[in-house]
Amino acid sequence: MKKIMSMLLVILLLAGCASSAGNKSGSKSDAKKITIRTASMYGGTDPGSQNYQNIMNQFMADYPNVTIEDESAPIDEQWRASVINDFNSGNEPDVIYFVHHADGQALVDTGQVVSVETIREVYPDYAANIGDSAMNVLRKKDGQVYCVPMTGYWMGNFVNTELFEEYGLDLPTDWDKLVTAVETFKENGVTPFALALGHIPHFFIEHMFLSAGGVEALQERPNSEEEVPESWVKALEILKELYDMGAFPDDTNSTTEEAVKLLFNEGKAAMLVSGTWHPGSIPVEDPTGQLVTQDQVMVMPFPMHPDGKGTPGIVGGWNGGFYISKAAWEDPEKRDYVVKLVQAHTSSEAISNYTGKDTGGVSPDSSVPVPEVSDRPLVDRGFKFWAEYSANHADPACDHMMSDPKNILYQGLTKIVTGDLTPEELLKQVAEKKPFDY
Amino acid sequence: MIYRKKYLAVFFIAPAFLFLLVFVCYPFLMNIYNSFFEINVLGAPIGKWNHFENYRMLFKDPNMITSIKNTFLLMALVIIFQGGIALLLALLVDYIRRGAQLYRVIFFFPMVISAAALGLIFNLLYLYPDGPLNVIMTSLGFDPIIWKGEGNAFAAIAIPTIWSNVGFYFVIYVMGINNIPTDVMEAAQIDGAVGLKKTRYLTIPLLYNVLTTTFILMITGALRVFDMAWILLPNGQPGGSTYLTGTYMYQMTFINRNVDYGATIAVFIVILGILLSQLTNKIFKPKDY
Repeated sequence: MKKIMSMLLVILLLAGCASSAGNKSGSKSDAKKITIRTASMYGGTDPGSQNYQNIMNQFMADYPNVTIEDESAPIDEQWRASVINDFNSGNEPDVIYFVHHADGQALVDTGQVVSVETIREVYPDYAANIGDSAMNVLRKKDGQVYCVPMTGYWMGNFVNTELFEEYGLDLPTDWDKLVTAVETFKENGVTPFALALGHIPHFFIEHMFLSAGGVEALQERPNSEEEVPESWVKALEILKELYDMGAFPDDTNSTTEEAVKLLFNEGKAAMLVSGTWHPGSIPVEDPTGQLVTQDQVMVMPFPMHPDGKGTPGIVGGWNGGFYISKAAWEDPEKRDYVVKLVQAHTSSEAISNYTGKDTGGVSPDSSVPVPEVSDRPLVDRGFKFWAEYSANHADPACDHMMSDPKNILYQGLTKIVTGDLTPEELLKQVAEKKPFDY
Repeated sequence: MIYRKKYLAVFFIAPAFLFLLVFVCYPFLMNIYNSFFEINVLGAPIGKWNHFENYRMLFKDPNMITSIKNTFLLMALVIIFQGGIALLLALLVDYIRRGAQLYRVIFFFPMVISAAALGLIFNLLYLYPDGPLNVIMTSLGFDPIIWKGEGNAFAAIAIPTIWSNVGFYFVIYVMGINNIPTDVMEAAQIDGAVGLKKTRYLTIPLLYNVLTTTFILMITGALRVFDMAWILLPNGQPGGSTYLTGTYMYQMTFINRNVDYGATIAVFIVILGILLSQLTNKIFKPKDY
């Protein structure tokens, strides 16, 4: 019995060895198995997430030998820091969809991403469909472009028109109308602005700059106390003025962005300063009758303050784009696939899906027509909003700041409204850090 | 004979020692080194020498001062309430004859829930204006309270932090009480030491060494509070008023990317931890019975 068992074991062992040897020789004859590591800002509930994932899945179906390991996450300061850390420590993904301003420069400074110009030397058609206007905005200090954009964004004041009608108010097209609306809503227990000042003040503060100093204020780059523009001081004063009027939720200093978005989407707040990423979260129809629907919401520019100077306009620009790592570019087995993957995400068809479905986003490809979205009223209004006001737009001033001073500014805003800091004191702290000196 | 062969002891200790060297000593020394240079991004090459600027800034930075004050306040609250409640519960459980095991399980239960989950639960409890606590307030005729707002925010962190760890110290005290020799207790009972007298003159004095150990654990534990505080009120909300040394270090390193300053705060936390535990040992010297 023992002998039989021993023979069986030997046979099984040999069969196993033969089978594994066969697999090895088989894999050599097949197309090389490639694993591409990717990362993006399309995590969580971003309206573009599904489109991003669809393209990834289609790519793996088209190239069965390619496996994509994706590590997308909702964008926040920790994720941005971890991406740059990964590039610095040799743990970078092969392809990443990432921002382009100060953090994009930090990524380029790692020396681990390859420029579009370099790629075009081998692939002349790479990003050929992307307009020069978009590419020029993305140009870095060394004059090269490192990422390929597929969508841009705008920000504006989302207004619940039904609430304005209910209280007989004019839409806030100028400052006086805005003040009247804030006072009326406050008196009637409606939150005027859905804002989590202690959590995500990012979008609102840009509109304070706009209201105080027009698009020119967004283009200021103060690197010392002396260079702090008057418009920025005024912007913080306007923020306090609105806070003192009761324009924000009672718990604005300690609540979260998710909670205030819910306030707006449930019709408990009249206005929300947000961007292209928001229309997708508002339903076209709501059988329950508990949520605001797209036809009840309008998007409009934030009005200029009576003391404001400068050119009225809106906040908007390019989010960033797809970067290819130097390591993936220099890997002859990966190079072709990573280029094709970026092209799959930035083709005219892909751009049409990214910009058109739920966002009202901006296309960097002029051949992509504005999609037919009359069945989604707010998305439609978003496209019209951009078409009407994009002549005077600038990207957010804070996106150009380095992380430390930017966060000092954001964290100091609650102290401004409570009177613990003056605008001058806070902006001095920010400017001392030389926020744009990179 | 085995004890004479020192190389065997070295052989078995070496892996743990190496682990300590690589993952604790080296990073800590590098952390001290990094605190003297400018580093703007984690993993980036070390920048220029900063002339002790971080150490000068440490005691001028209002957020750092707030974080130190909050950490000391939390430490005091933890010792008084966490230790106090745990001791009280352990003494009470010691008195009861039936159901003691059930109480032990109930009091220890919060310890098995992660701080992240507890943080989310308390976030829901604190919701304004219609979270469970505010529903109770309004049903009693009071106005809803911004539990995480100015004035209440620190308590909003301290209460769940203290509550969630009571069970840990409760178990230690129960074990300590159980370890008191029964013959001592019986002799005391014969002499008339029962009830509060027994607790005052026997149980607590005989728990002295256990209490000393738990004080040190509570002090160093308070220096390490992070997850619950960060989940409840990230970024020191509102307005940086709830920073603890741990959360402020995280904020500086991972959010503001002021890595060198974050390293300086880390050095400060370690020094503070060592000093405080030494001080506690000095004040409450262990006794031999």
